[in-house]
Order: sequence, then structure tokens, then C-alpha cells
Amino acid sequence: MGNQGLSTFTPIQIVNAHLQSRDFQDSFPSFRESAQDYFTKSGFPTSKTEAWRFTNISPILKTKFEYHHHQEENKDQIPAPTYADKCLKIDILNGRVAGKSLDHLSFETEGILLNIISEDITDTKTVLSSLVSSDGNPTAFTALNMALFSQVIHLHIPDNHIVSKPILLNIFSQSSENPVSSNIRIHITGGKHSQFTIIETYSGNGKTYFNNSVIDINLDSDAKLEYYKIQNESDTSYHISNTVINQGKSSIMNANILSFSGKLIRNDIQVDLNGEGAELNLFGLTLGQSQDHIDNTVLVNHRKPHCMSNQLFKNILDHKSHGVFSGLITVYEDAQKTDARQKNQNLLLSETASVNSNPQLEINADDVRCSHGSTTGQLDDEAIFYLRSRGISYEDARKMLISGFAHEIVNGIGYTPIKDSLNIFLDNYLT
Amino acid sequence: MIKIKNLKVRVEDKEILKGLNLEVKPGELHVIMGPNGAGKSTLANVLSGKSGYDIIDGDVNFSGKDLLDMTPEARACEGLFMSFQYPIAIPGVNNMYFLKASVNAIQKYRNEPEIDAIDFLKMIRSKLKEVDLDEKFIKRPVNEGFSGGEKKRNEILQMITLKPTLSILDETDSGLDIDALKIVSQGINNFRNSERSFILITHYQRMLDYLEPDFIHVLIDGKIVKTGDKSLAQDLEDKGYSWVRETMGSN
Ligand SMILES: Nc1ncnc2c1ncn2[C@@H]1O[C@H](COP(=O)(O)OP(=O)(O)OP(=O)(O)O)[C@@H](O)[C@H]1O
Ligand SMILES: [Mg+2]
Repeated sequence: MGNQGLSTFTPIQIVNAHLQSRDFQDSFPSFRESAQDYFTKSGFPTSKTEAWRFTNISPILKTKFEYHHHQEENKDQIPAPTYADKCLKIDILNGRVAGKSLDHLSFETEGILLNIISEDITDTKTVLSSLVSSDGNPTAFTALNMALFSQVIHLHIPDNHIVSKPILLNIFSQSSENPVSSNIRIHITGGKHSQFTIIETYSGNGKTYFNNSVIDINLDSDAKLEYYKIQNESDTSYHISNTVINQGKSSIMNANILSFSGKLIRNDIQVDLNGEGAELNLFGLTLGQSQDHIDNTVLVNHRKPHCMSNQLFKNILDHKSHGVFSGLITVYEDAQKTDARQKNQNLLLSETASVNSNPQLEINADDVRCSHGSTTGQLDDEAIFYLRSRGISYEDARKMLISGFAHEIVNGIGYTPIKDSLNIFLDNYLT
Repeated sequence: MIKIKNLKVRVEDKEILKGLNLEVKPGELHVIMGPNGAGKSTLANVLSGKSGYDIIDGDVNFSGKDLLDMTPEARACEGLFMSFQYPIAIPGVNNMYFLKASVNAIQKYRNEPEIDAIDFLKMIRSKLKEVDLDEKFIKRPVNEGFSGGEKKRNEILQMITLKPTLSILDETDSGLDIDALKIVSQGINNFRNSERSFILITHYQRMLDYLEPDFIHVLIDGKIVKTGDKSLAQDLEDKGYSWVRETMGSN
């Protein structure tokens, strides 16, 4: 791959260097300007920043990464999930689409508009103007992404279009000598009455790397999206993702955030219910082990009446792993007849595993139904004894109870191949 | 079948069983009655291997083996079964899946082939009828949202499915309505044979009207203080435990 001469920079060094270089200001100018604004005003969060109280990012800020701004030749096949051949697949290697493996025709046949916008396209301004909206309120890592991404993947599902196959974003990180940092940027727009499935999987070659992804999803009225984020990162990797979802009138989003491994994972998920009658089902399952740190920070904004949101996040934490759930539901004045639920349940399998849970509600309308809650516990000895008293071994009893804890999430997964692979993950996790 | 000798058990520094002796032979049905807090459930729990109990003296021989030396699962596989006084609910674990895992764990222990799903379903359907439980109950998580009586019927369903040689039934009659009591008793009667033994813990005479107990024991303050035949249960119902205590005092 000829990476000998590649220099490495910490995130702070690269931000400073890039924002000042003319080349970068010329590409994706509106994004670079916003990033510059952000970093001159704010900067990276510290341990005192409220939203980052439980997640320490200093290991990321201290690491010198390589940044691949141009497509490298990939000779090897990028590993993909077993169900990949049933999907419309986009391989993304170190933050950029692996063009060779991309079958444009299959997307065209399905009627999907797939647009890969790179910095060498001159007319980026017009192409991107429609996409900038959700970056009105950048965070440090969306700003970092805005400063550094070199490609935008834009998927558009036209009105009334039902896509028969799931769209698989197969994101793979491959560090060689130095840790690689990737800034992935994906925009997805679902037209009126469109129906589609997105599977976003993350994995890597086992070394240290840093994924900083921004996923922007817009659902027009009556659109329906099944969305899966599957994080199976190497256990020395860093992963920060910002997923911003904007739901129109009567749109339905069923989302599953499945986090299986990663040294540090932070998922910021923001859903804006911007049209009447929009419905969100957002489920999460974390299987923490060794020293994994997995943080789900979820903002759900009910901005219009008659919307429904249902959140369930379950963390299973073993060894020295650490889980975080921060959730805030905000019900705006207009949002009468809101039905909002949020539940976080944690199962600690060892004395050294820990969790911080902070579900919150802010209600500014009077005719609403809202609930939130959080529980943390260990395996129930009485239940283990009950199973053992029926001949089931301690090990199997433990597995049955842990699977039982995860069952609600596993069972809710609509796409069978993912349900099957989750069961395999769970099996491996339990042995 | 089982021989309990001088069993002394402590829970959190309090002695609960204070030298208990009991022998149950194959095919016998023994009833243990006694006031609240006497140690009946403690005995059942200790026999089935629940942790948290200090066994300070005594031994228990079960079918020629040292029972107290075995894990709870080994005891079950060796043919011991306890119907819990308060069966626990296990969210997320499907009742049928659990029961099948249980049957197959025991099959495996005995070096017998696993039962396949279709045969299992057939068998379970006929067992459900015996305890008058609807099929929907085996599709639900174990005991979750079951009524008191449904939980007890689910325990008996497990018993007749797992076919233990010794069944310890801890207040299985409590919580059963009049019809269910009859059905469950019939289920137990059908299950009885010359090989299978029972220890039935109860507060009431009524279940004994359907069953033919061989012995009635009175357990007070951690010991069996009186043993008799079926008529003892009636005497207890009429006169209460103070009567037993008085006769003990006069001894
Ligand atoms: N884990 C424990 N910690 C403290 N005390 C206990 C514990 N388990 C049992 N005991 C005590 O031991 C005594 C015997 O309890 P046990 O449950 O065996 O009574 P029982 O005869 O089954 O009564 P009941 O008829 O009410 O079911 C009681 O005084 C009870 O409070
Ligand atoms: Mg009791």
C-alpha cells in the first residue's frame, strides 16, 4: 500500500493544519467554514463538558493517526457479513467507497439514486446545499468530520419507492503501520411513501483506528425505514458516530443499535420528529467485554403533535467493560398527544463492570404520555437455582438468563439474517 | 429412596433444622405439616441444593448416593424434583424452550438421546391436558404473568414431564381453586407408581382427601415431632398444633 512516507497527526493537529490549507477550503467550502467557526469558538470537549462526563476522549486526542484522503488501491476483498450477497452493498474502506467492488447497476435497477461526491467534483456547492441543514448545530466530532471528510455518500430513495433488498454500508477499517482515522459521511433521504432498509456495519482488521462518522437521515412523509447500526469494531479501536434523523409526517423509523465490541464507542443519536404522527422505535443492545467502553447518548425531540417514540436500550456488561446511557426526550409546546417512552436496562455480569445511566424528560406540552426509567442488576440467583433444580447446568442456566435479558431486542429484529448473526454473536459472547 | 439422618441446618447464624430424621421408601407418599416458620421449605430447599444454607451436621442418602455432595442440577438428573412454594418468573426465557432444555439435560446426564422438537411437542400437549393448562402457557416466558394457581400447575407439568423418582411438593395445593386442586391431585395420582416417592408439604387436609398418604409427619421447630397415618391430618385440622406441643410436653 506504500504508506511509508505518510505522516501522522493527532485530531487537533490535523484540524489546525487542514482548516488553514487552501486546498481544503476549496473543497466542500460550506462544511469547512462551519468547521472553522466551530473550532475557533469551541474545541474538543473536556472531562468537564456535561455531555462527555462519562466518556473520556483523551486517548483519541493523544493518538497520532493517518488520514487517507484519496482512494487507495485495495487488492484484497473487504470482509463482509454473511448476508452481504442478499444486499445492495457499498464497501467503505478507511472512510472512502471502494469503487471497484461497487455495483452501480444494482442500485440503478432498484431505482435508488446513489451519488458519491468527492472533493474533486467542482460543483459541490449545489450538490451539497440540500444536505447541510442538519449541521446547524455541530458538536466537536461532527465539526471534525466537516473539516476532514473527503467524500459524501448520498443515497436517495424516490417517492413511492419500495426497495426490495437491504442497503448494506459495509464499513471496514484497515490500519497498517499507523492507526488510521476515517471520517465517514453519509446522507440518506427517503422520499414520500418510500420503504427501505439500511444496514450500517463496522468492523476492522484488529488494530487501532478511529472512525468518526456522521450519518444524516431524512425521511419524508409516510416513508418507512428499517435501520441497523452494527458495531463489531476491533477491541483497540475508537468509534464516534453522530446519527441525525429527521422524520416527516407519519414516517416510521425502526432502528436497532447493536454494539458488540470497540475500545471506545460513542453513539450520538438525535431524532427530530418534525411531522405529525411520526413514529420511532429505537432499540439498542450492547455486549460489553474486556475493557470496552460503550456510550449511547440519545436525544429525541418531539416537535409536532401525535408522534410516538419508543426507546429500549439494554446493556450487558462483563469483565471491566463500561456502559453509558444518556437519554433526553424533549417534548415541545406544540407536541400535544405525544406518546414517548424510554427505558434503559443494564445487566452486570462481573463485579468490575459498570454503567452510568441518565434518562431524562423535558415536557413543555400538557396533553402527553411520557415515561422513562432505568434498572441495573445482576443475574438473579433465585432464577439460576430454579433452572438448575430442573437439571440445567450452571453454565447453561447463566446463558439462558442472559439470552433472556437480550430476548426482547433480538426478537424485535425484523431482518432474519441479522437476527441470526446476532444470535451467533450472543453465543460467542456467552462462551 | 431417601434417608435423612440428624440433619442440622443453619441460616445466617440461626439454626432452623435441628436434627431432622426422615426415611422415604420407593412408592411412598409422606406428608409434612407444621406451623409457619417451622423449617419445611428450608428442608425442601436444602434437599434440592439451594445455596445459602449451612449444613452443620447430618447426612442424606438418595438412591445410594450422598445427596448433599451433589450440585442442584445433578440432584435433578438423579431424579429429585422440588415444586417450589413460590415459583419464580423468568422473563425472556420461553417456557417450552426451558422445559425442553431441562428434559434434554436430564437425558444427556443419563446417556440417553435428546428428544426432538416434534416428539417433545406431542408429549407436552398430552401433559398439558393432565394439568388442565392451555397451550399458550408453554409459549410464554417461564411463569411470567402466571396466576398463583397457574404457576403451581406449571410446576406439576414439569414434574410429570421430567418424571422424577422423588418429588418434594412444597405447598402445591396453596393457590389452587377447588377444581384445580382436584385436577392436580389426579395428575399426581396418575403419576404415582411403586417406584416414585413423594414428600408433600401442606397446611391443609383437603388435598389428602384425593391422595392416599402413607405417613403424616409434624415438623415443629426444626424437628419431626410426631408421625402418624392419614387420621393425624384430621386431628391436626381439628385441634391445631398446640395440641401436638402439649402432648410433646407431657412426654
Ligand atoms: N435466608 C434466610 N434468612 C433468614 N432467615 C431465614 C432464611 N430462610 C429461612 N429463614 C427462616 O427460617 C425459618 C424457617 O423458614 P421456612 O421457610 O423453612 O418455614 P416453613 O416451615 O416453610 O414456613 P411456611 O409454612 O410459612 O412456608 C423461618 O423463621 C424463616 O424466617
Ligand atoms: Mg414454606
